[in-house]
Amino acid sequence: MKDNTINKSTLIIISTAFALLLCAAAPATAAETKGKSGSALYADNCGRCHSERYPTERTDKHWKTIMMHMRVRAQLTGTDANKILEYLTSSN
Amino acid sequence: MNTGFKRRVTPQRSFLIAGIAALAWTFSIAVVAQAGGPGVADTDVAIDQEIDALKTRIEKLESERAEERDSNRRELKKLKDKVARVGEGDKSQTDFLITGFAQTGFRDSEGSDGSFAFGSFNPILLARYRDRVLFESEIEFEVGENIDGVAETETTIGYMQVDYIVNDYLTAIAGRFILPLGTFSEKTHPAWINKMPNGPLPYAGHDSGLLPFNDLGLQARGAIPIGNTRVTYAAFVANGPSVATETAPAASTALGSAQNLAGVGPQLEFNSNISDNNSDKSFGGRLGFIPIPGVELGISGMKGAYDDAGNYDFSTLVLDAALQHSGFVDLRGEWIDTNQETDDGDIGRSGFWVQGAVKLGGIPSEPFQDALDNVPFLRRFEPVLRYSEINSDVQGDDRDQLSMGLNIYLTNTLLVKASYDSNDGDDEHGKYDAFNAQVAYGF
Repeated sequence: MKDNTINKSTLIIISTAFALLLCAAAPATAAETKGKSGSALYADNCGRCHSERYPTERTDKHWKTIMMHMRVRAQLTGTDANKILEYLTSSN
Repeated sequence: MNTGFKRRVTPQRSFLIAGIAALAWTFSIAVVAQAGGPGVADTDVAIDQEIDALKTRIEKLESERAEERDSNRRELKKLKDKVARVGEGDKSQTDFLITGFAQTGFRDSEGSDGSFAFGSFNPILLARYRDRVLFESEIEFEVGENIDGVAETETTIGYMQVDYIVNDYLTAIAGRFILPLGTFSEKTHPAWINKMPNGPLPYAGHDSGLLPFNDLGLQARGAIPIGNTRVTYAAFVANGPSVATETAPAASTALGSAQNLAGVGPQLEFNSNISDNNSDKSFGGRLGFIPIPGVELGISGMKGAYDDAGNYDFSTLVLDAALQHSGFVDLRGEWIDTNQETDDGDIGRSGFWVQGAVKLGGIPSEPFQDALDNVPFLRRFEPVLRYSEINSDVQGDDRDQLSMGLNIYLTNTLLVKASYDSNDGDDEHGKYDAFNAQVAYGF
């Protein structure tokens, strides 16, 4: 049995510091993320969890269904999901 | 009549006249030659040919440009049609497809003989109705052993839910859904996404998992853009955990995890509370923050009564962080804390895991990539390192694990994974090394 008290405190402090650091860095990079294309949003969001899926793997109709699934799973906004869908269906 | 004047022609004058005449003759010949001789005709032909060639060239260019214009028009129309379809919605109102993943493998650990694992087949069924409603379900088929050690086919519902897209920022969910606690369960547990053949200790698919995987209830989730950052949220109410019984033993599949407190306190059953055993529902959710692309931070938790009388709560708090860089570096981790109230006081268990992976083919170093040119297959390699730990208030329940892994991507969704786990624990039972290999495919 280990004493978890120190571990918890340390982890919380590190996590908080990490979050504050990222919050401070966010405004500096904000301009770079504005008005992104569907392909850029695809790279940013889909690549966060899994390897690339090629647009040619699915038909337009199936991409639409998969994007609805991924919109819910990855918590995308409707606008971003539609841009990614547009990219996938214009490149297949 | 003779005028008496007689012009006198001298020899010098004669020469002068003759010279002028010769010069005039020569000049006239030159003029005639220049105006209509054979050399003039040749030049005209060359000029005409050049003009004809230029005309042909212009006509060809005009033709090519017209073709290019027509091609661009066709492409533009095609794109406009596609954009219109995306904007207006596909004419068909429904769609059904099967996606998912499958895996099989081999495991050899100290104290037991190496065995080929049966693996699992996890189809995900998606049925869409128009643009707002989606029925989705992950079903896991695998072969396990029952309490008598006899092999039997197991079918597990990972999730079975209906999603309703309320607006750009909100989706309502009803059914059995993966609980939004951390990100491993929700987002990276599929075998073709998980970078190790097994899960980290807090999610180990045996009787030692810290967190519930899924539950029955209602959920609201979505994302809110704030400036150029994004906040994600999920809030749920569900039946919550119950107490494991002989007829409803604690789950032990890859999709389900149950908490075993080494005989201290009631053993919890997280995933089979079909009919709620008490009137107190569990509540929880996750708040995520994506400050810049490639970085995600989250905090999540849940709380709810687990006993029939509704007197004792099970609660958990999870912090998660993930960082991806340029598509080849993947760092992620979670810290998990749980608490179970009992007659004899609270029992706390916690754990964490951190994992780093690097795809060799993506390392942006020219000398390194030049070196890989000699063995291009190495570009498909991805070394992985993971450390996970579980700590408990219960004596003898602490464990940690260091895993070294290697993934080989045969395609973007078909990979071979291998790992060597070094396990340590409070008791001898938890000290062993193991080798795992797995073939995983996302379809």
